[in-house]
Amino acid sequence: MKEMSPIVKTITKISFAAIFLFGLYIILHGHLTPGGGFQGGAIIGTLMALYLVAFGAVKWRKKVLSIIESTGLLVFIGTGLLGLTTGYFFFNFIGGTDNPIFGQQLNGGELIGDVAFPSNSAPLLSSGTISIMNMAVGLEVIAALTLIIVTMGLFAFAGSEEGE
Amino acid sequence: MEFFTFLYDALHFMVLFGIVGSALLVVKFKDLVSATIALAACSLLVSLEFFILQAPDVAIAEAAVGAGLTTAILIFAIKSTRGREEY
Amino acid sequence: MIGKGWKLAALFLVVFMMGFVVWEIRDFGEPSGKAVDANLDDNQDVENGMLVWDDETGQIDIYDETTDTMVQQDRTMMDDTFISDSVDPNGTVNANNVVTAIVFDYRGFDTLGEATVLFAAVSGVMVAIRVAFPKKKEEEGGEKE
Repeated sequence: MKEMSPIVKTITKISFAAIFLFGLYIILHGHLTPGGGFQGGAIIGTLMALYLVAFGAVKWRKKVLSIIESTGLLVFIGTGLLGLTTGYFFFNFIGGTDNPIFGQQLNGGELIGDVAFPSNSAPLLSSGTISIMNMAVGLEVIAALTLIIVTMGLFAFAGSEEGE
Repeated sequence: MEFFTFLYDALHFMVLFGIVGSALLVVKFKDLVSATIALAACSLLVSLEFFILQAPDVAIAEAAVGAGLTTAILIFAIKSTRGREEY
Repeated sequence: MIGKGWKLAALFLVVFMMGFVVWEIRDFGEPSGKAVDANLDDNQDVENGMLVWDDETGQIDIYDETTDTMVQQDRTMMDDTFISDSVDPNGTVNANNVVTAIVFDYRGFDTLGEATVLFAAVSGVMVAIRVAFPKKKEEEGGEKE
């Protein structure tokens, strides 16, 4: 399998951190700006495809990736089940209760007619279980898409499956 | 102000025709790698179209998955099979 | 030939398109003027800029005093409740991005389904690739192509 030219490698090295940061930004600010868990995870999945193409068949530890993926999904289900403490499955029990972790309140925005339109400035730790679920789904989607890309990449590049 | 709405509509129609054009290109190309690139262009334009229609979340998802991952997987598939389409 | 059933498929497509067009151009009729604003009871007259709900179409119209007409908004009652509930500071949602609020809070159960579907897809891919190419270590002559 012919090696990628050093130009591609250096560009990937430079842009890896930037794209990764951008993906994390999209995940963490899911409840404030457009984006969210799935979108950010897909961006980082694309980054893994770039890395795999640039540096050839890489020995990724599949066990670690599967563990990350499962923890993401379990945290997602966990927050859903925790909502049961207040009687409803998937109830946002942290939102708007001024609990310092994720409970801070929006500053309301202005009312037009009787509809409150959101203001742009909102605290990051503001929307309770939505942020937690954003991160959980983000984690899960990152690991899932990386697994798919790595499995198929190894299948195509090396003709057999060596990553363990 | 009128000029901007005209520009906006013109951009909107160009993107729509671009989507249809690149989709036709995907079918026309014999060389599969260029067909995949045309497919990536098509999904990029669809993502731009979502953005024009004020749906940024879907635009990000479509751009990342459509242009990024689908193209990567298709190219992996082409790598392990023949590169040209014959019938 | 593209298989024998394409005539039937074309017929269905045409019928469906005509039905869609007919459904699309149906006439909504005059707005009925049902009061939406909390402080407006039925017989009170509608002031300028007040939201009025048209119960045939479920659309919200705003009364425009200058032209004395009902300006039809493309928002329905349901959109308004979702938007105002999700940005209401003393509500439980408190998310600025209403789309994410809906995806993760109002319809969190569906996103759980979506996440599980992705999980199943990944396991499927890994099983399929592993079956096609068992690892070289265990099996000496792992077939190449």
